[in-house]
Amino acid sequence: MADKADIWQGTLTLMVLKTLEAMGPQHGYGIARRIEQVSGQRLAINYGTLYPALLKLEQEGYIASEWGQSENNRRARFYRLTAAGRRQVRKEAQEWERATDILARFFAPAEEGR
Amino acid sequence: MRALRAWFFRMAGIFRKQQRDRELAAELDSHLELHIAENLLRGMTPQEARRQALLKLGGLEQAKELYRDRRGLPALESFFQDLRYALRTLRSSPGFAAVAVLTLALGIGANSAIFSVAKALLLKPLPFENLDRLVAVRESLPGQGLKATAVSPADFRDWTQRQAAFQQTAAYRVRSATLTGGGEPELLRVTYISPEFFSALQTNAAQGRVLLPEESQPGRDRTVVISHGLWQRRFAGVSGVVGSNITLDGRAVTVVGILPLGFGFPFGTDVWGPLALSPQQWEQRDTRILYVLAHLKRGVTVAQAQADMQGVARRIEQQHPLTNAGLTVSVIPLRDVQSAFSRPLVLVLMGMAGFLLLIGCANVASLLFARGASRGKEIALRMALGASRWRIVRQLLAESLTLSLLGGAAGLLLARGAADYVRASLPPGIARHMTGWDRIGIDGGVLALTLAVALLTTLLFGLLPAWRTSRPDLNAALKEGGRLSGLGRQSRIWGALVAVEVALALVLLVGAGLTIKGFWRILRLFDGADPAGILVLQTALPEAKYKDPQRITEFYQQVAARMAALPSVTSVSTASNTPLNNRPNPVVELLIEGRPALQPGERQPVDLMVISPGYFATLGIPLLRGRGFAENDQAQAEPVAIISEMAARRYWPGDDPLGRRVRRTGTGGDAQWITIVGVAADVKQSWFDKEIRPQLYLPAAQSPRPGMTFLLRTTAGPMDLAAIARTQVLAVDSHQPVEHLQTLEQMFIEETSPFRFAAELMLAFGAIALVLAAVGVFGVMSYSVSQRTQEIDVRIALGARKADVLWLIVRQGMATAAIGLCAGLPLALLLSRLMASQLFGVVALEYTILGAIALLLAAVTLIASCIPTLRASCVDPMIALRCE
Repeated sequence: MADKADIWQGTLTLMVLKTLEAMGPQHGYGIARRIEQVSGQRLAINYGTLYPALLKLEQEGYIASEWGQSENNRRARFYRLTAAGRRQVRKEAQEWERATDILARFFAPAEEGR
Repeated sequence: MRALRAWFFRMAGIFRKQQRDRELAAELDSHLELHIAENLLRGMTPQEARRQALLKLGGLEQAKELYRDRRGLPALESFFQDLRYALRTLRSSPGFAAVAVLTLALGIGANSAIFSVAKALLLKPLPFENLDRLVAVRESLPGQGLKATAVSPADFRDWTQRQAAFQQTAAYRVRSATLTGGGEPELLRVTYISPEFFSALQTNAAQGRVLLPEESQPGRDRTVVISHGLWQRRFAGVSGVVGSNITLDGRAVTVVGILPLGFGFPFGTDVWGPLALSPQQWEQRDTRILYVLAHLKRGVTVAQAQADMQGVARRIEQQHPLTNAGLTVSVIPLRDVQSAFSRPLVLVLMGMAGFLLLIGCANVASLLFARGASRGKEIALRMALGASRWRIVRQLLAESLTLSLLGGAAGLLLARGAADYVRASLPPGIARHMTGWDRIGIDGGVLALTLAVALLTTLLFGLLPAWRTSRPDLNAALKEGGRLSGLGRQSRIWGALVAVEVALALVLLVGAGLTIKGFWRILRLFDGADPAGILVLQTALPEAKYKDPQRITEFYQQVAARMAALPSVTSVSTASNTPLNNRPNPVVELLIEGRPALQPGERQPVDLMVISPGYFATLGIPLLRGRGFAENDQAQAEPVAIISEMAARRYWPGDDPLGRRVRRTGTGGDAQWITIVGVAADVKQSWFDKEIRPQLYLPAAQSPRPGMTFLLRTTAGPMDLAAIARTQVLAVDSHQPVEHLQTLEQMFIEETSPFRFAAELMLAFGAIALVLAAVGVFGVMSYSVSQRTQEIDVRIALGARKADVLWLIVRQGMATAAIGLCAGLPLALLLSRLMASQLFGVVALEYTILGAIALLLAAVTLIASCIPTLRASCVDPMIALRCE
């Protein structure tokens, strides 16, 4: 696992929120798998770190959870976005775009000069 | 907002752990199942599928641990864990816990109790909203013995017109008057007030109204307001009192209002009437009869007001040098005036309580050292298992905190009991010197202080032992049967703690000893007469009824003659005041015949007392020279006087005053000269007087007073005579109330009760300190003996004499005590100097007391260090050695 990128907490929560926005209610395992798939297997998360992140989001009121049945009929805890969570996704997405936009400007001239 | 919400949820996460853990386990189980099912679909073997899933999760327990850290507040949880663990540890050694908690409870409780007293007496002696801005304005004549006295009417009038610092100034005068009609005649304290009085105190009537400005004109001053207490007591709280007439000193006045419950300023006043001075009285500058209080303007400090008034006084002094030369003005916060009598007492008690707490801390610290020594192995084990030193210190401090919180809670109970006792312990007549006394109690402020003290003590007694204990030598401590090494330094610190205890105990005991001696000395004032055998009763004849001085003299002579005829009465005398009752005598100023005229501002004040023949003999006050008053010193005879020793020494230094003649100033040129016929021993008027005041006695027949005290010396129980004595007064005047019917001893005890209260409290503090010091020495010696058992046994087995070995050990304890005593002596000396200068003028440094207390402490520590040593040396050395 050391050869793959570590995930930093803030990014993980944003990815969780974005995943829930895209897929609707989802259990922890599903969220983890989805994040790996979307990253094209380039990102390997330690699944154990996902649950404290989910708990933090729930404590902050961005997501809510309840027990339900999974697609293959297993009991699982499903997380869904709350209204506050939806607002937070939009806000954080904007911030992220702005940040990457700024960083892109730093990298662009170097590429031009090559 | 979000962070707060999250924190709130994390707080909640501390509770219902088991259910939350079950939920987490279920969630992780379902996670693994989902993952395993998928891995199986990919064709893995069941074992491999499970292994991969667990690997990806990063381990089941690790995942749970990460989750739990986020769920609750780990720091808080481990703190609670520490407290729980501490409680468990303390429960397993109940003896230690009980001693430590009791010690702390005494120390903390003493401080809380004294603080509740200080808060009521010093911080909020009067229940006024604007107390911070109320000041008393007083006049002083430094060098003339007049300090912060009352003010003359003309000065008050000029001040009011010229001052710039006060929103309002008000004057009042305290007198007494007899209320008659509807029941027994009753002597009341009446305060005559200027119109601004109630508005300066921001007080309004609860029923009716307060006094109007025009009612202060002579002739229109026939209205009064009364206290809630008088309304309840005398008029049974009925509603028709406002608007009705009452009779005061034979004069009908109308009650126009009733004041709210709890208002009682000046203390003890039941009736407030208008201060209706005549125009002539308003011009007087040398009769000081008014007390002045003022309400500071917003933003003006006491110092600024003082400066302003100083300027005003200087201008008046320039205009009226004859009366006002050298006169200064002092502006004093009303709070300080009210607490003037109680402040030194309360401050000394606060200091004593602080010392007691320090002794308690030293004691608990030494107990903790002992525990630390015996727990060395446990702590070494925990450190070997990976606990950090900080973790261990935290754990030990949690134990200390638990102890001091328990001690604080118990101390609060003690303080509540003490506050109730204190409030009930003073006779009501005395509390007038201690306004606020009735409000002593445990409130939020006291609670907060108790908590703060408990937290502070935790650090005081817990930090050092925790730091030392958390540094054991792991190797040595863990060795089976190994002795704890590195305790040499520890026991030195421990010895120092015990020395501190002994030193502080010495200081406390000396303070207590000197106070008790001082109290004893007050009561021994009259060597010749037993105050228990003297009956005291007071009468105040209404001035309106007894305008003719001759009638006053007749009244007192008739009543005295009837009393003298009673069985078992051996002598009767009357006096305008009794010694030691805290009521000051009027001050008059003397002119001495044949001396050059006094310089402006120069004065010769004496306290004036009027007495009948036999007064000195009845009270056992020695006559040093000359004669006492005789029956033939009548109104028409040559005027005579007796002076006190202090007056003789001050005004006739190196000269014989007998046969000299004096005159009171302000009595006019035709006043007769008074011949001095005797010199009497000095007598204290108040226990809190710091110096002895010069005194002038005049015979009652030559200057009759309406208010006098009868002193009846009896052979039988004086109180048995009380009822008959009262009927003798009523037989002469059936409307005349009798006050303060008691024995002289009862009166002394009542009047000195604040002092007795302080002495009792200090005695209690001293006794506790003594016990704590003894326990401390005992503890350190027991430990030291237990550490040296082997050494002792080897010595005895090798043939050393038991006594020598004993001495070896005891010497160590005595050295500790000696160091403590040496350190405590200068502190005790300092304290006794301070007390002698500040406290009542009764406490005096006495080396015999100091020495006796030092010996007592030495004896107690000797016994405390002998007991464990003796016990150890009684064991058969062979048995002890075999145990090793």
